[in-house]
Amino acid sequence: MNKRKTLAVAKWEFLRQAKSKQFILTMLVVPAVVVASVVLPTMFVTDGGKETTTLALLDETGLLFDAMARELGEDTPAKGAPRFKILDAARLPADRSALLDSADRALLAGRYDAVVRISRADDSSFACEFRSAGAPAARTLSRVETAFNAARVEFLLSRYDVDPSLVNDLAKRDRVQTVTVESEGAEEFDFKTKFFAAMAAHLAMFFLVVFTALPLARGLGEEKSNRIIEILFSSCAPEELLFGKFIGMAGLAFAQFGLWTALAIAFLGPQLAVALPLESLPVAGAFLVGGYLFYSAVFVGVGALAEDQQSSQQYAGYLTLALVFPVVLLVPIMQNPEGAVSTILSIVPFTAGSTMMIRSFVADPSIGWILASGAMLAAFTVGALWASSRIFAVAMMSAGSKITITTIKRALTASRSSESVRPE
Amino acid sequence: MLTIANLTKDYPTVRALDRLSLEVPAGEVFGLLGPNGAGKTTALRIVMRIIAPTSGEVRFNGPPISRGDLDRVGYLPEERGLYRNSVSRDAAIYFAELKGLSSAQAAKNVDRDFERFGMGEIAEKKIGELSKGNQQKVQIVAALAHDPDLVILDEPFSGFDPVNQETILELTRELAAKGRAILVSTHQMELAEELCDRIALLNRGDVALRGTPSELRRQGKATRVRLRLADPAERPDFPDAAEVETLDDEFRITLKPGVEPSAFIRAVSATRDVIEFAESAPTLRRVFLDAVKGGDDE
Repeated sequence: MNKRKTLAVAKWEFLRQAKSKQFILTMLVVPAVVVASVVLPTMFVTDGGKETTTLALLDETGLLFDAMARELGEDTPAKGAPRFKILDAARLPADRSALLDSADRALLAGRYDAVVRISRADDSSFACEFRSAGAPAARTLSRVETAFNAARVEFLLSRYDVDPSLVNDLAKRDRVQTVTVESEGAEEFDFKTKFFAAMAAHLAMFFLVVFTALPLARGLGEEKSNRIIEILFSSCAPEELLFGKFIGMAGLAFAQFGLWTALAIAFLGPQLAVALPLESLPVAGAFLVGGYLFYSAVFVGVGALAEDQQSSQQYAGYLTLALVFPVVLLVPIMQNPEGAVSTILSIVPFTAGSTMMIRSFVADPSIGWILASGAMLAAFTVGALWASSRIFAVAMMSAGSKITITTIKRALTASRSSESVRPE
Repeated sequence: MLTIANLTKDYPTVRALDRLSLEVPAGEVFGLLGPNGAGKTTALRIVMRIIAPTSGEVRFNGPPISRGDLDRVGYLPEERGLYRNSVSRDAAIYFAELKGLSSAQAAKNVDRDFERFGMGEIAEKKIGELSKGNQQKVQIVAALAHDPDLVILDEPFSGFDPVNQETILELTRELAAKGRAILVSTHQMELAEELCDRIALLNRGDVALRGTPSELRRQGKATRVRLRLADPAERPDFPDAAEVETLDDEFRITLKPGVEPSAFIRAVSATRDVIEFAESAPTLRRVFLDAVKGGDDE
């Protein structure tokens, strides 16, 4: 194999993609999407909505008002005024029978955000209605429901002279601390951090495949349909061309990953070092690279097999679905990293990269498993590259004609000397 | 320089090439002519090692052509394509690098050739933004930037206007004058006749005729004759004529198949006073059609 030509192909592929608008856009869009997907949910959680919600509490029983007003009144953010302003609708200057109508009119006039009506079904049960002009705010509804149940339980307990605070103490649930003990010492198991690390690593692999291997497969379709491939094949051997493309694409992917990492360090700095499970990174990183290379090798074969640019993109799109599969299994694998399913997925080439990445974050897979899974992934990657290069030589010269199973079989079994047998 | 010896290429249902042999020495322009499906492009692709022959071999300066030898060959394929979103100069440099040139040398040669073709202004433009003619020129630069010893041009004139066709003719002659061997495949008989030192007419994978353009014309059947009679008003019947065209006092006659001009003039002279008679030299196109179809249409 002529290394100079292979490197010329690699350089061309790298620069062609790196100069494209798509790549530049990807550099900015992906971090923005990742930041948005982390920050936005947090904003929803911390967003208090309106500063103060005005509730008209219409307690027709006269038994729960004080307790509910107290419960809701205690809901005060760290900074600022109480979240709820409670009005006693029962004390409004209105005929008691017309109270509900009066409260509803006030609600529609915008004087209240909601009317909470409490009634009594029988001696030991209450009913609570949350009446709002539009769709109820889920957070407010939840807080009202909690306050109502607390007030109801407090009232019922008081009937039996039981101190509600005692019940609160009894009902309180304490968290079980998880500690991972290793020969170097013991440390707390932070599930949340590991979950996000595994998710981020998998997303990185997904994005790298989508943004580098997919364009490569599309590019192969382009070269095939507009016959550039004929000039390329007259200048270098199929394997020089394929390996060059592969190296260029991998270089681009790792440059992209490096830039994303640099951006993350620049913006998050030391927080990142604290948050990341650093001890898992070497193994997870190796499987990130291995998984990426395997998928890329398969994408090259798919690109060569497709009849044109459009179909290469279509086939590659189907293949990308295989990358989504481990995301569905992320939590089950994390919950049972040494189980039979996790173990099987670790030796299936399409899922091995992702599964071993996840396992390395939440458990310490044995060296034997790391080596076995790694060797299998490497073998399949080399095999996929070899098969791709054989198919590549045949399929790339057959623009406009369908590649049949027979063609593939011939490509894979043909001797080296007849590498460029042309399919009919 | 280039020797093709007994080259055969079989596909499952058809023999594309049947023991094709030819030689292209340095400094010669060799034309490969033939109808669609004659095997011209198959032969060129085998020379470029894009496809493998069933039997026979291709030799370059003596030994069988190797992949390394292809770095000394420039190839302009029939079906042309370039990276539409790439800058013209960058694409040409890439193809030159694939022929083994260093980046610096490739850039130097490409700049030289862009200048030669008066393409300086389009060097930094994307290929997709260029006219079809300029895209073809970029492709020619890409094929020749590495100064090949052997140049293979598959339908080099297609898509070019007469002015640019003349440019290609001049360029090819210039390359031949510098000692390059040129193998050209084309349908355009007039251009082939004007350009090529030798020609092979290919039909169904085999050489039907070969020689210099003048030799080929001589091999063709002289089926047309010109005739003037002493009495310009006379309009006789010519029993051996398939078609008679009269221009003033001159008859232009296409003879029936199998009729020799010498026999025809003897027969006419026996009853008329002939003051002028000439055989029309057949065009290469006529020779070509005679060779592939028996000459029964034009």
